[in-house]
Amino acid sequence: MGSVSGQTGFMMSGGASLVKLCRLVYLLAPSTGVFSLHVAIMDKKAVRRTVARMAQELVEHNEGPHDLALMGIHRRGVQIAQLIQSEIELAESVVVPLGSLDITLYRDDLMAIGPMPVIGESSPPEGGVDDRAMVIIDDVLFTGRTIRAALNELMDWGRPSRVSLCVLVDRGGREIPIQPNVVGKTLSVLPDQTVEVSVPDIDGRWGVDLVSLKSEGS
Amino acid sequence: MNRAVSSLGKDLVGLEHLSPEQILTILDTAEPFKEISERRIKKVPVLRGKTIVNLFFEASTRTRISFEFAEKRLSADTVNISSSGSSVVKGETLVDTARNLEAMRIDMVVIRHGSSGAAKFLAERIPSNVINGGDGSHEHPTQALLDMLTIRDHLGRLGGLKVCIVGDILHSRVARSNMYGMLKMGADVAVCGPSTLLPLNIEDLGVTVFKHVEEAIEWADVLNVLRLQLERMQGGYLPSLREYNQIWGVSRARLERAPKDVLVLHPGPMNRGVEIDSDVADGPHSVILDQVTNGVAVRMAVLYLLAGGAPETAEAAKQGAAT
Repeated sequence: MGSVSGQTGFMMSGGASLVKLCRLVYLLAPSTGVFSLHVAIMDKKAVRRTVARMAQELVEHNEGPHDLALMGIHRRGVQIAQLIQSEIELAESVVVPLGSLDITLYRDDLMAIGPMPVIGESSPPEGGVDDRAMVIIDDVLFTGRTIRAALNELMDWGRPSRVSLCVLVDRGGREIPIQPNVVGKTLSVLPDQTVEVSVPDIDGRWGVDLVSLKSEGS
Repeated sequence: MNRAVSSLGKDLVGLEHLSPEQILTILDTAEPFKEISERRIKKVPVLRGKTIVNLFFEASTRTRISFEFAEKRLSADTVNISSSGSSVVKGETLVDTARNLEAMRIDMVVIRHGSSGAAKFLAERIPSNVINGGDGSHEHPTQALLDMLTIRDHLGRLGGLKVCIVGDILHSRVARSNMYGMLKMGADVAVCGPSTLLPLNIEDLGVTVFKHVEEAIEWADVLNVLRLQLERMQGGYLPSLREYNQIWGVSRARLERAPKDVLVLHPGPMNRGVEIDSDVADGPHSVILDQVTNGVAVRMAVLYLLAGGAPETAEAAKQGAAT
């Protein structure tokens, strides 16, 4: 095992108590000299607590759950949207309609990325999007380009009365002027780091990790 | 979201040389495209800025319009060229026509041509993506793909199904593409028709031959009834249309005698009362209009997958064009 030096290099807005949750995992690949450093930011409990708060804020922001409809962005946003839907149901006894968006066909880099990616399912919420307070839900907000694409797709489906944006993690680094309305957690992330959100249907667990890619000696 | 699908390469000339995985990729990609045609605004921006030429040297309504809808719903710019209104009547060759179009910076060509091999010929000579919309009696790949998608929608699978193609197998590009495609997807394929309209040694392809349409109906889960090409009547292949209907026509009475429900497909245009009776075409077994709906989704999938492209094959074609 090579020695791992240096700092983890991340900052959190959530306060010092969260640092207790942090779990350091070193994955070493001796042959390449490149290793990734996983730092747990949120575990299952923390995600659930955060999502419950986000659900509450959404209802508050829209003055009640009655006109709301949720749109999860394929793939991880869909499961976060499902969790928000069940949290709203717990608190307000209303089942908010839920749809999903796959933004593949609206990407601005589709012709530049080589072989075409698999297209996921898009489905508008029951009752359509017209005159509804739509909430776009995604796991991580980064450049804002996904949200730009999602907004375009949403507008092709109809005319919502209002659209808001709700993300589990805002990692900064916007390339276009997009602003979230409800944020689970804000992280400042270095250029060589990524935020990984895990959801049960795809990754087998709930969690948020900060992953640093570093090469030996750097 | 960045999982890539298996590439189709530059062109879609036929199903003969596609792998089962590539066929499955097209069918699976067609699924999400079905939803777009149900929207109020039936358009996604995926092919924005691409120019597609529909080069139709042979009469066609369904295929041409279906391609055009598919292109427009993906936001491509389209131009339709038919032989009658173009310089082809002045004697311009196919390659010259295509190269002149290329000079106007096009991205894709959909070609329908009366000569077998025309699509491949063109694909080897121009760097644009070429899609075969039917060439002579060679192949009509998008028709077979939409047939397969329709069968999968209704029966949930393709592997292990018994599919019989009925009618003029000899002249039919639809039959050929269906045989290649369905065999690759693991179906049992049979053909049924008058012996004058069956190719010699067709068994070598791995298909069963039925001499009587009643036997075919008894055996099959799916009947793909082909159009009797009336223009063939001059060739002495058949004594009369009435006799054809009596012996080979798919009628309600024949279907009712079948031990199980049979799905009936027809690529259109139908000759009602010849190869298929009206009460079958409009009856509960028929999925003919589902085929037409699926045709748009399948063609959108093909256009989408080819637009991603394989730059190296396009480069090779460009060099071929220069020599």
